[in-house]
Amino acid sequence: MMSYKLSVILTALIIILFLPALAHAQLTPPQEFRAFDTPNDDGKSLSLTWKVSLENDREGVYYVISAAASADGPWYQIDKTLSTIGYKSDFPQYFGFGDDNKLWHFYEASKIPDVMDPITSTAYFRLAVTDGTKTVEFPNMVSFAPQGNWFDKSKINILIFVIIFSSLILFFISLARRNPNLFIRHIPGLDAIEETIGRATEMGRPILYLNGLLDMSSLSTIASTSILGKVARKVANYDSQIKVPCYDPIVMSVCQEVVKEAYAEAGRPDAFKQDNIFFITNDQFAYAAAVDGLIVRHKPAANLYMGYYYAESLLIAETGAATGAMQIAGTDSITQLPFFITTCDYTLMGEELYAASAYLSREPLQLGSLKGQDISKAFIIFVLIIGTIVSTAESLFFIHLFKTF
Amino acid sequence: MIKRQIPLMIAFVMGILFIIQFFVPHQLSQDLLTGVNKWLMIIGGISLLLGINSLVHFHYVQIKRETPGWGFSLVMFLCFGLALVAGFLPSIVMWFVEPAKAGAEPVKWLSFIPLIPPFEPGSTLFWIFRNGISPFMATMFSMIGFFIASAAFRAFRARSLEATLLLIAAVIIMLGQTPIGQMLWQGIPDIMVWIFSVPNTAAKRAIWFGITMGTIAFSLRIIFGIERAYLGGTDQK
Amino acid sequence: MTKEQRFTVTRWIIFGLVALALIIPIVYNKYIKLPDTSSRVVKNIYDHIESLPEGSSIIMSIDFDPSSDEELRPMVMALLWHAFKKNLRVIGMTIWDAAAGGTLIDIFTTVAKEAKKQDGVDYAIMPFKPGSSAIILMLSQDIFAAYPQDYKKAETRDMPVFKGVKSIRDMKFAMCVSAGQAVDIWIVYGKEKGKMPLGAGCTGVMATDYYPYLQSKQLLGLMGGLGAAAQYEVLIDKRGTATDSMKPQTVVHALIIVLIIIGNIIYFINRQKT
Repeated sequence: MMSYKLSVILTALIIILFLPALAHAQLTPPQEFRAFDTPNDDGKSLSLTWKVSLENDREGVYYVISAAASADGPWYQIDKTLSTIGYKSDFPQYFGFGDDNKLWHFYEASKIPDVMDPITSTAYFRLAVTDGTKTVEFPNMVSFAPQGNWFDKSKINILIFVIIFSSLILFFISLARRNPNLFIRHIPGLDAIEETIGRATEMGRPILYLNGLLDMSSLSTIASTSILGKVARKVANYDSQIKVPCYDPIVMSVCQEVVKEAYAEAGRPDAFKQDNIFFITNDQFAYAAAVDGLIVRHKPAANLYMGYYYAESLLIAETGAATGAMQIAGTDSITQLPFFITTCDYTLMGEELYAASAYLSREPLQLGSLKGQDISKAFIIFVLIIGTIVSTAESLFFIHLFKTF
Repeated sequence: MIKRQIPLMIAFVMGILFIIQFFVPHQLSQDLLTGVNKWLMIIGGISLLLGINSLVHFHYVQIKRETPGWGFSLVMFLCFGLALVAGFLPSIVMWFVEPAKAGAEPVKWLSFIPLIPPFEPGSTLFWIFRNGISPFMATMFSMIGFFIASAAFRAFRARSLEATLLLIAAVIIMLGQTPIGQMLWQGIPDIMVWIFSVPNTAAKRAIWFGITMGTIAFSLRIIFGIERAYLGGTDQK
Repeated sequence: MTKEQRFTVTRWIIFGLVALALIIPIVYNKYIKLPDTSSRVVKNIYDHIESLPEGSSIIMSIDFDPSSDEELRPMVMALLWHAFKKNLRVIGMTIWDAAAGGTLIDIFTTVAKEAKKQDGVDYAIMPFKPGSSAIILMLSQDIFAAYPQDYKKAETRDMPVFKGVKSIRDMKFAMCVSAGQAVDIWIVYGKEKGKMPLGAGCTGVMATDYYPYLQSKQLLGLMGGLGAAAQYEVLIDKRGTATDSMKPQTVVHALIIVLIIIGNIIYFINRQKT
C-alpha cells in the first residue's frame, strides 16, 4: 500500500517536473496567420504576421514560409527563419512603438524565386513550424496583392518639422519685406573681404578663389559660387584679377558664368578673362599639388577658400600662409575647421558660409531668412532642454518622436 | 529676363517636387528619383569633356605665353597622353587581335602590350596607378605631417583664456595619442577620451545644428528664388 | 631679416626637425622601446572577437585608398590576423572603388597566406560594387543578392565560408575600416538593419567624429589611426608595422609639443618687449 502511494507521488512529481519539457516538445500550428500590404513601400512586397507562441518559439525550431502565384500552386519554400527572431517590434517604421508588437512575428516577403521577383500581384502564402523531425502547418493559406503607397507614414515627424522650420523661415522673410531694417551680427571674415581685394589691387597681385571639392549639387558649393559672384564684382570694381582653379567641370562652367555676369554688372565686361577660371583635375591630392604650385608661382595677395574640403585643406592653406597672403576660409567641413583656423586670418564656420551671401548682399529678404534660422535654432534649444528632462525621467516618448527611418 | 526666369522656375519646380518625392514611397516616385540621378550621371560624364577642354586650353596658353612654370604644363600633356594611350591601346589592339584569333595566329609585334582591360591587375593603367598615382598620393598626404608642425608652432599661442584652453587640450590629445602620455601620467589617455567624448562632441553637435538650420534656410532661399547669385550676377531683383 | 624671410627660415627649420624626428626613429627603430598602452575603446573590439566561438562569421569592410594605406593597413592586418587565429570565417568587402584591388585583395591574400587560410573556406573577398548604402542595405536582406560571386567570379552560395549565413544579421561582428564616409554609412544602414555588433576603424584625425556613436552604443569599439593599431598588435601579441611606426610618430608628437612651448616662450618675450 505504502509503496503504491509512493509510486503515485513519484509519478506525479515526475510529470510535474517534466511537464514543461513535454509541453515544449510539442509544436502547435501558428496562430492568426495574416497577409497584408507592406506599409510605406513601393508596392513590391507583402507583410506576413502571426502570433508569438510559447510552444514554438525556442532554439532549434523554424518557421517555414511557402508561397505561390496562384491558390492551386505550385508552392515554393521562400524562407526558413529561426522561431526566436523577426518580430513586429523590430520594424517600428511599419508598426510604431506599441508594446503589443512584441506579441507578433513579422516577415516581409519580397519575392517568390523563379516565379515573381519582386512580388507585384496577388501572392498566396502558407506557414508551417518545424523542429527538424516534425512539421505542423497553419490550416489555411492567406493571400494579398501589394500596392504602392503614396505617403510614407514613418516620415511624418520629419514632415512636421520641415513644415515648422520652413514656416518660421518664410514668416521672417515676409516680415523682412515689411520691415527691412533687420539687425545682423558682424562676421569679421566677410567684413575683411573688401580689405583683401583692396590689398591685392595695391600689391598688383591676383586673388585666388577655391570652391571646395564637392560638385554643384552640394549646398556648400552653391553658397561658394554665390559668394564668388559678390567677390568678383568687387574685384571688377577695383580692376584687380581673380583666379578660380576648379575641381569639377560643372562647377567651373557655373563659376565662369557667375564671374562673367559680375564683371558685366560692374560695367567692365571687357576685363573678364575666361581663362582665369579653369579646371584642374578631380583627384584630391593632384588638385592640392596644382593649387600649391599656383600659389607659389603667382603669389596671390589673398586666398579665399569657400566650400567643402578634406585632408588637402592644410596643404593648401599652409602654403598660402607661407607666401604671406591674406587668407579667408569658409567651410561646413567640421574636421577641417581646426586646420583653417590655424592657418587663415579669418574662418567662417559652418552656417556662416551659407549666411555669407545674404550678409554680403544686405538684401532684406535674405537677411530675413537668417532671422528665421536663428529662431529655429532657439526652438531646437528649447526642444533639447525638454527632451533632456523627459528622457532623464526615463520616458521614451521623445526618443520615439525624433526617431527617423 | 528669360535667361534668369527659366532656371529659377526649374529650381522652384524641382525643389518642391523632390521635397514631396522624399515622402512618397510609390514606384513612380522612385522612378523619378532614379531617372534624375541617371541624368545627373550623364551630365557629369559629358561635363568631363568641358573639363578636358578647359585643361588642354589652359596649359596650351601657358606654354604658348611661356608663363612661369610652363614646363609643368608640358609634363601635364606628356602624362595626359601616356594615360590616354595606356587606357585605350589594349582595347584598340584587341579590336585588331580578335578577328585574327580564329586563325590562331598571334600578332607577334603587338605582344608587348598586355591585353588586359584597364584598371585590372596586370594592365598598364593598373601599373601606373600602383607605381605612380599611389606613391604620389601618399607623398602629398604625408606632407600634412610637416605642415601641421609649422602651423601648430605659429597658431597655438596663449593669447587669451580660450586660446590657452585650446592649447592645453591640444597638448593633452597629442600626449594621449602616443605612449608618452601614459608614461608621464596614467590619467592622460582618460582625459583625452573625455575631451573627445564630452566638450568636443558638444561643440560638434552645436555646429551641426547650425549647419542643418543653415541648410534648410539656404535651400528655401534657392527654391523660392530669393538666393539667385549662383546663376550669375549679384543683384537679387 | 624681413618678417617674410624669418617666416620662411623658421618654417624650413621646423621641416628639417620633423624630418629628423621621423628619420632617426625609423633608422634606429630597434633601439627605441616604448611602453605598451591600451584604451577601452580598442580593447572592446579585441574582447568581442576573442569572445566569439570558432567558426563564427564576421564581415570586414575595407574602405580606404592608397593615400591612407600607411595609416590604416596595419590596423586591418592586425584585426584580420586575430580573426584568423580565432578560426573565424571572414568576408572581406569594400564600398570604395579605389580600395578594391590594391588594398582589399592584397591585405586579405597576404594575411591569409601567413595564417595558412583557404579562400572560399576560411575567408572570401567580394568584388567592388557601386551604390555604397544600397549595397549595405542589400547585405542586411540577402548577402547572395548583393554578392552572387566573389572577386574571382566563383559562386558565393556554394562556398563553405558562407554556410549558415544569409545576411549580415547572421554575422557575429562587422568591422568597417575607412578613410571616408563608409563608417557613417555602416552605422546608418548596416547597424540599423543588420543589428550585429559594429566596430569602426578610421584615420587619427577622423576619430573625433565617431565618439558620439560609442556613447549611443551604435559602435562597439573604435580604432583611430596608427596608435590604435599598435595597441591592437600588443593585444594579439604580434608586433608589426604599427608598433614600429608609433616610434617616429611619438617623437614627432613630442617635437610638436616642444615647438608649441618654444613658440609661446617667444610670444611672451615679444609681448613683454612691446
